[in-house]
Amino acid sequence: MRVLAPLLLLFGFAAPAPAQSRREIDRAIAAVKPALVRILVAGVEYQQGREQKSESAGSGVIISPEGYVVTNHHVAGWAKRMLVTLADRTEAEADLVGTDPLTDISVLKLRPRTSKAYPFARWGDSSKLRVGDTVLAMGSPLALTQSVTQGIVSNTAMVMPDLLGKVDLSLDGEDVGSMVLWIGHDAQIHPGNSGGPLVNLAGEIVGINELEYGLAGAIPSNLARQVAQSLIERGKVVRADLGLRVQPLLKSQGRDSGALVSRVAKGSPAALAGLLPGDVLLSVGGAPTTVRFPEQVPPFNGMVASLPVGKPVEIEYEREGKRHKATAVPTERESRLVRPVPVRQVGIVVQDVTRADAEAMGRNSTEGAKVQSVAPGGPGGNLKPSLREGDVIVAVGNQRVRSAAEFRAAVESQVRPENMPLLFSVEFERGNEQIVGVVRVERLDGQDTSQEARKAYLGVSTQVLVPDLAKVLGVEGRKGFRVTGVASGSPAERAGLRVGDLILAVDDVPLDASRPEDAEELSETIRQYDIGATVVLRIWREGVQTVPVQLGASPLSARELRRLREEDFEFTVRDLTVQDRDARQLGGVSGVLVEDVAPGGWAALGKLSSGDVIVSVNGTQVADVEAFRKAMAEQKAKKTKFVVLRVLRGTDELFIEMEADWSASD
Amino acid sequence: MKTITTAAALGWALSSFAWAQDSVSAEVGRRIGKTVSEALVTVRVATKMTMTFEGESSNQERKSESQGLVVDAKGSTIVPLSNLDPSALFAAIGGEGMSMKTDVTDVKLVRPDGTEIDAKIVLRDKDLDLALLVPTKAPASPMQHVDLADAGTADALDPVLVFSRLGRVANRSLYHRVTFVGSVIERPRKRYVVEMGQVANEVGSPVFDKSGKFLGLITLRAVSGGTADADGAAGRNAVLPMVVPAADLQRFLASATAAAAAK
Repeated sequence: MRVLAPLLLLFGFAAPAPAQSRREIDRAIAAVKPALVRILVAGVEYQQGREQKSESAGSGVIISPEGYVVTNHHVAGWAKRMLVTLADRTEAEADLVGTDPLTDISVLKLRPRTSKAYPFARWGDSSKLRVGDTVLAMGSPLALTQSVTQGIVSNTAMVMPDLLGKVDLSLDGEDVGSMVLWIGHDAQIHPGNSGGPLVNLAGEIVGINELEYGLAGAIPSNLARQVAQSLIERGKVVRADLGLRVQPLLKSQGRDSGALVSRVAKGSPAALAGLLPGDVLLSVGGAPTTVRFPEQVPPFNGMVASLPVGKPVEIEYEREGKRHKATAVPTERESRLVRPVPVRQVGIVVQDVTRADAEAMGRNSTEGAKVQSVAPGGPGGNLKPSLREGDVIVAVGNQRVRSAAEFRAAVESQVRPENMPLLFSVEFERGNEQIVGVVRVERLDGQDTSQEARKAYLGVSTQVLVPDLAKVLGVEGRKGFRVTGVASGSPAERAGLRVGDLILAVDDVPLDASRPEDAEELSETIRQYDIGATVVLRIWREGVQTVPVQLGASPLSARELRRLREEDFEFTVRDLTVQDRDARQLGGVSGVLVEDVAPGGWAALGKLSSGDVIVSVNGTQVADVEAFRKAMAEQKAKKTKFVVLRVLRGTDELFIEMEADWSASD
Repeated sequence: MKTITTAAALGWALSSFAWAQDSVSAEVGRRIGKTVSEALVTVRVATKMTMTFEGESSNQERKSESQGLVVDAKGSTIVPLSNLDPSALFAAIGGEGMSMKTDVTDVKLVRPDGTEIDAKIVLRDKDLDLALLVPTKAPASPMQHVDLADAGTADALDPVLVFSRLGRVANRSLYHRVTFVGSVIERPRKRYVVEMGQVANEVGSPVFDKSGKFLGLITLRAVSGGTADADGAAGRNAVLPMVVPAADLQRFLASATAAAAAK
């Protein structure tokens, strides 16, 4: 209560907002909230030489009646599937229209719905925001349903501080801070708010929330709107590039206009125009340039990006106290966003070499396939020397490789089941070295089919008869085991052993267990016998008795059982073991056990969980893996839109609805 | 006082080391080493591991190296199962709500000269922490091996020889070491506990008695439940390297033959 009291004070006694302000807030919420969406993303990541799925959630806002949605690139840029929850709780699938990591903006399009147009919110003018203005952050924090928080604009030109060390805000190789001056505000946002709108009291989108660094940071609407429009019209953002980087003027330069050129890319328009690092840029296209502070860098970059591509532009600069003029022809800026290409047959992921990559590597050409990651045990990882991240593959056998796609095609043309085993050479560059390795592909996917050693098996679970327990049970001084469980169908069950029996000796050899660490004495003793042998157990059940038991063979372990990988929904099931049944107290219920569920697959999106026991598929009982396979094949043949699994989860029972996309196995 | 105590302990350690050294002929050790040198191979495996925690799964691939002992001319090789597939060990000592599934996707035996032989796992025994590997193609010539039938025995404080295959950093050389039996465990199954060396990973190392007879192979024994020790739940109270005697290895090999016949 002591802790709660201040909170109550805060909430209970805070001065109520003026009535007019409250009405404004209500109006603003009413204008935007219907267009607010929560986005569930099944995305991909590339690591360890393969594509891996992941799941995440973010926010977005519908900006047109056709269903265009603006969100962040870091929410949707790598999405494979997106499921969007609208404000009225209905769901819709969405497709990625375009994405721009440099400004962290993506645009999605909701799949059309027949009933009506989508509700949408309108853009506002972010340049009119003033510090102190009331703003509302809308979104789905922590993937909660659509929520609103309130704050004020704290900063209209926020940049990341470098006083505490450089804060890395690069996305897919793009430095977001080089283009974006964030709107800083104090409305609470959390993971999951990303991509949601920042709204003014006129009910207009004035920003797209992106980050939280003490204050929250939103991408200004004027920039977001421009980028979104470009993505809708062209699928990409076309930007001009001069190939130069500027930094704020040095204090020692003693000037208050101009921008210091810090870097000029080799062969770039600026280099061809004769600019050099150290020059002070005075104007570009007749517009004076001044970069004295970090806050002036993004607007400068934005001005350069907006130059017409291919149209000569006059640049005025100063070098060693003299003014110079030059003409540069802006080229189209190359996107750093490259889509990795998994090459499953050799267990590596490659990507195209960008101009920036080539420059960083000191290469003259962008030809080749750059290794993004390597599966440790795959053919690429087994190369001698092993391929590693950053290597650039330039040839497969005698065939030159100019891109990631060409590398995959070259490998696919060689690696076919009928060619196994296969050897082929791969030539790659590592720094200044030219290395040739030989890839050996034995089989497309190794499978471990080993057996477990079969041992004699009794089929009881036990606890050690520790002295205190023996005393309580009235058998003080005796040693051995108390039966705590009898496996269904086991030799012990057939012999009539029961829970509560005390096992004292095997074939007249007394058991010596009296401490917890003796827990395995009985099972180890039993395992010494041959399968099929008959042993006589001396037990205590209201007195000493003898029970002959014919030992069986230990049941198949989980890894030896039949299993099935469901490729369309991305999960694996296997038959149930006796232990599975007993642990879950399944009794006579049959089914299959879910062994793993791949993140981002339809099963994961439907919330199937490993450890679940599936007992039916769309109403058809599935007793084992074979029955499950048949039931799923039927659904596939019918192209059923939804597959409903009846599932046992612990002591609970529930229905899991999985949306179907049968394309994986088509 | 501290100095005196330390010096006394050091003196005792040195004297016991010298005692153990003196009790095994270096000549016997080198002779056994020559046989073991070819029979103790590097085992390289690639595995796909799926870790599941409270219903959520994640995958990882890894490549690892350990050592295995060739036990017949066909190249059958015994290796601690935990070196190939840690999931059995994990099941014993893993946390609540966690599980691990491992698929071994590639196995290679690397001979001391660097020759690689493709192999597969044919039998596993979680109790003994053993796996049997066999080459996927019969070797061109009979492989040098350790004869499991030529078995020895040892008692507490008897000196023994331990051989290990060092890693790439030491050019995969054979490492010889003399130590002694610290404990003979009789229940529930006979095991020897020997002091483990610091230089090489000795899980999978063959151990010989002072006369040069094969005593057994070092594997890991894990027990689930019980109380945590000072190292935590998975400390030496729960997992300890122990020597599986030659007789158990022979039975394991025989059961593989029986399983293959039954298949």
